[in-house]
Amino acid sequence: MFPNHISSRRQGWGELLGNSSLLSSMYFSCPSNVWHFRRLILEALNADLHEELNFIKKVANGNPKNYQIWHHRRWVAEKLGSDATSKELDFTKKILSLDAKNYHAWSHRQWVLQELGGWEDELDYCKQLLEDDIFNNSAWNQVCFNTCQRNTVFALSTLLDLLCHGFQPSQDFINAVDALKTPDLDLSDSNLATAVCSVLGHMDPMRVNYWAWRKNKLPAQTA
Amino acid sequence: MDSSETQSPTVTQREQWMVESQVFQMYELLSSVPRNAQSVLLELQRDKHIEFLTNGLRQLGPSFCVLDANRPWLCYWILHSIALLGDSVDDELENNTIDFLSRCQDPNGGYGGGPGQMPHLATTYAAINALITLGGHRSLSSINRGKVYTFLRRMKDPSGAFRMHDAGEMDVRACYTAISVASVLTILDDELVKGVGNFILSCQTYEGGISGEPGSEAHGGYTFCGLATMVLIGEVNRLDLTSLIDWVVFRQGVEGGFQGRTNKLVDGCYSFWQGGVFALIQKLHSIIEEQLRLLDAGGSAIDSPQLASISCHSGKRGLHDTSGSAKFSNIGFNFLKEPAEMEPLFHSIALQQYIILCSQLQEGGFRDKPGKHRDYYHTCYCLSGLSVAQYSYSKDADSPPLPRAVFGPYSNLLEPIHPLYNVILDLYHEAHEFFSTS
Repeated sequence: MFPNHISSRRQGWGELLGNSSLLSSMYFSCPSNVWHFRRLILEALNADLHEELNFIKKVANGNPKNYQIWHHRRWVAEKLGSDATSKELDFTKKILSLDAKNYHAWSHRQWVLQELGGWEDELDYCKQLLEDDIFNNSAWNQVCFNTCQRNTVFALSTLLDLLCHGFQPSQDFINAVDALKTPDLDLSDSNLATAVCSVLGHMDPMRVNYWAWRKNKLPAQTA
Repeated sequence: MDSSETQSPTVTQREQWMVESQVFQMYELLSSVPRNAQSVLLELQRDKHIEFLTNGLRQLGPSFCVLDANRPWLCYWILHSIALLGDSVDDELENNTIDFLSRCQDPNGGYGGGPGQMPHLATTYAAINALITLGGHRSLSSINRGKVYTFLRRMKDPSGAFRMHDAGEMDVRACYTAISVASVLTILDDELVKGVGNFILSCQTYEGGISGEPGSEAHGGYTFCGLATMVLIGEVNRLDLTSLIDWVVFRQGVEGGFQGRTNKLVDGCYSFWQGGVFALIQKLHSIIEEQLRLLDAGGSAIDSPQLASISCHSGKRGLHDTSGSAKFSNIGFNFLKEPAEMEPLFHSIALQQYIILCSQLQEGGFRDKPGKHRDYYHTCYCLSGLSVAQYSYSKDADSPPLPRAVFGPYSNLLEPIHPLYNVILDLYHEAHEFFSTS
């Protein structure tokens, strides 16, 4: 069903990206395949992904709870990186203005904050939503998400500073950091300080270079 | 506080009041009509439901193009509903369905939404559950287990979780569909299991329920998926079950039915997603007791070495056979043998009342709530939830309930299910026998 030789068919494919009604009906009859196909074309043509965000916005209008659309949006945003941050925060805000509890929108928003940043105004936004509707549990969850994420990074960076100053960690600290390790992290980190740096690099991607530099610069006797 | 200041109701409140008034209207209707009309309202409209369901299965052709990617789901929702009602489909329909689902099978393993479509974990789960529901040699042998295993391995992410399809989204749903399928086909092994527990643990929220992805809101669908998965991989002791219980009990509202999330509206489908959580919890009695004991002793509920040994309800029987897939292949089976030591922690009759009086349509089929349209998804999960509720006082998975456990006439009684996979118990046993010996 999917052509093997993309390059030989380039010309006609620009048209396939267009917003025709045929295409729209395909997207909802045969979801995973058509969106997957679309991603192949976008890559092959090196398409303008900002345009793609606009396209998705239109399609999402009538279908704010469709898994494929949100997954596709995440794929595009990931490719664009922090260029997409404000657009993504605006987009989710718009969807949430129509349905303040849209699960997909919240998950996407959290992913954006986590991967691309933009935390500065998040608590204010939650505060606004809660002023509108104090019973909005999604907004409460977001407050917790904000606090937990920021606090964990803050707590770990404080721990790191303490370790660099000679603090001897108890087993509790070692266990706590251990619990934050994900399987893809370098498990050969034999001491706590390097493990903390690894975890921070993962949890705080905006400063991944900084945490790598810190890891390099650890004093010799650090636990 | 300025006493003249009145706050206008929020969106949440307005919507909730509207639903409550519609639901209570229906309950009042019941008490106001004469007795013979009452008994009609309390009755499960079996014939009408079967008609609605069978028509749906027959029409699974060109007219269903909008849900084209969902046809295996439709097969499962419809067949499972028919089976819950104690009925079955004729040979022709059965053979057509087996043929259709076989054509959904990808040459490299897994099932897509339709012939020629990319394989997807959700449609794989649906297809396999549908085939188990049809039962019989032809149906079960049509599943290429080796290829399914290859597909599952391909969907496995290094982090431990699963993706729904190639380069697809990763969430608790994907974990459940993958693990459930692997377990029921007896192909679950260490490679598939590793890291899944960590991912699901990271999805248990401060509220106690489980979210789809780390950080998202606690949600009924994902809570069922997460809990069932942890049971199937033998790591349920790692979850904070006491806070999970604390969350899920408050999801049953004044209407009798369940909401999916805090402060959201009741929906018939959560009769299964949330109701099913209770069915699982009832079998985890010893682990919960231990976690409670630790809490009382001032410790953390989840750090006990004793817990690890009690783990996964195979407690007394032991899980000492560590040879590859044999380690996991009997978890689903042994789970059934655990007696339900505790009374159900939800109000079974209230749930049944909501399903029958508010979700059921007299003309056949079930819906989310009054005012919504019927569909096969809601029919499946309302009936599944009804079954769970009816059997919630039964100590053993299939012992017939006492009449007082069943809302309405005793003839409302449905077939019992296996709460980990949501397939009919007898059909599960047939499949388990088939896959264990082949």
